[in-house]
Amino acid sequence: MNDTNLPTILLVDDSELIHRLLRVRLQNERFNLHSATSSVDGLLMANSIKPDVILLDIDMPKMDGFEFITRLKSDPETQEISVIFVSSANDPGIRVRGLDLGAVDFIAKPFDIVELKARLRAALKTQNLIRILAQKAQIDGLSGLWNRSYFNKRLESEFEGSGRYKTPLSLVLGDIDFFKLTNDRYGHLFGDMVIERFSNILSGGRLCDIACRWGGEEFAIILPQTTMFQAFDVTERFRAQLANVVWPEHPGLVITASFGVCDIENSELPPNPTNLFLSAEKAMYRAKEAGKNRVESFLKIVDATK
Amino acid sequence: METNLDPNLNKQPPNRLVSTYANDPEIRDLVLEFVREMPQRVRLANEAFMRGDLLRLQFWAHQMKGGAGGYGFSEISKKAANLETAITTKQPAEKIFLALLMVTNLCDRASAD
Repeated sequence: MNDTNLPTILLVDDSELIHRLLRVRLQNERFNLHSATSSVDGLLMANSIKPDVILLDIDMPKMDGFEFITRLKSDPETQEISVIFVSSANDPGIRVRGLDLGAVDFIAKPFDIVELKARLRAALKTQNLIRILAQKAQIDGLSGLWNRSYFNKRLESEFEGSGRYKTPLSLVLGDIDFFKLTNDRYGHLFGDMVIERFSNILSGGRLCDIACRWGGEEFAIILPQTTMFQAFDVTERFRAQLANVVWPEHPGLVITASFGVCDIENSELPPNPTNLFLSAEKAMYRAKEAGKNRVESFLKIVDATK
Repeated sequence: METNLDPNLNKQPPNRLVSTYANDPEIRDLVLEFVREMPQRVRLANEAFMRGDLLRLQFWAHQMKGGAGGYGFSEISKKAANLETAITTKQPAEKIFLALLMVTNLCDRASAD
């Protein structure tokens, strides 16, 4: 049985002899090994299991390794997967072509198993570092939450998933009340502390929710598989938590935030990520206008105008 | 004058081609299986050649080229590569046959220990 915490290797090779050999040779390594005996099956598997590394033969019928890697790298879903060519081709031109097409390494057949394992480990290590760097580029430095660019991408993909699986999706926008005044009166260092504390509250909610810093004192939380009414309750807890924070530096100070909540079902038409965002934003402005330190849902606005 | 009528009497037993992984416990069983399957593999290759099924023979050579080395038989891999090249470069049948013979001779000598 596969251990989901371990990295995944996909072997794409038309030789049953190689599959048999590597199944035994790699059985004690700390990764899960999947096998495809044709390039067509390999591409399908790469898309579904998203392996960390693909060990790829070059000389295969129907679609050779070069065409395979070209397709793999042109698909945004699979382009980050590392590829190591494993081939008996001795021509340096072939190796260069493979590397130029995006492979991270080339192992000659017949391979030395100790070398193959070492190269696999190196590829996995590099892949992991790339992943950490990519993740860091999407994290806001001050708050530790996802940044705006990640939010945009994630909202798109959650929206798509919600449409595909017919599940609800909510979006919450939050804005710290009187933040400019707080900064002016208590200093920017304290302002940063407020941002950090609020971020901790937002990221301390449900594990499935995606808290992001939209910019400045504005925050967005994506709540997959959550209706607007459920999201309202979650947000109300955020609101209350912030309002109840005791600030030892300034006893008696109360910092609050205003929130707008909306889900796909109730957002402005046509349903799309932009309209979901605009609807949540309108609800948030309504919360500001209604006196701040409150949560408003977009549905309430619609009802109020009827 | 005494003559030797039995040609096999002077024939030396073929040198065994021992897998370089003969002492590797991790794949000992795999190598044994590989060697055990060898006569069947050789038969398939010969049959493909006799039928003129060069596509099948090319596939066979390709598999041996890529696989045999991993089981400790690099020499078989090299000769299989020659056979594959002979087919893909459309060499005359006798050259292909010669290349096939070179591989199968080695295959016949393959031994796990």
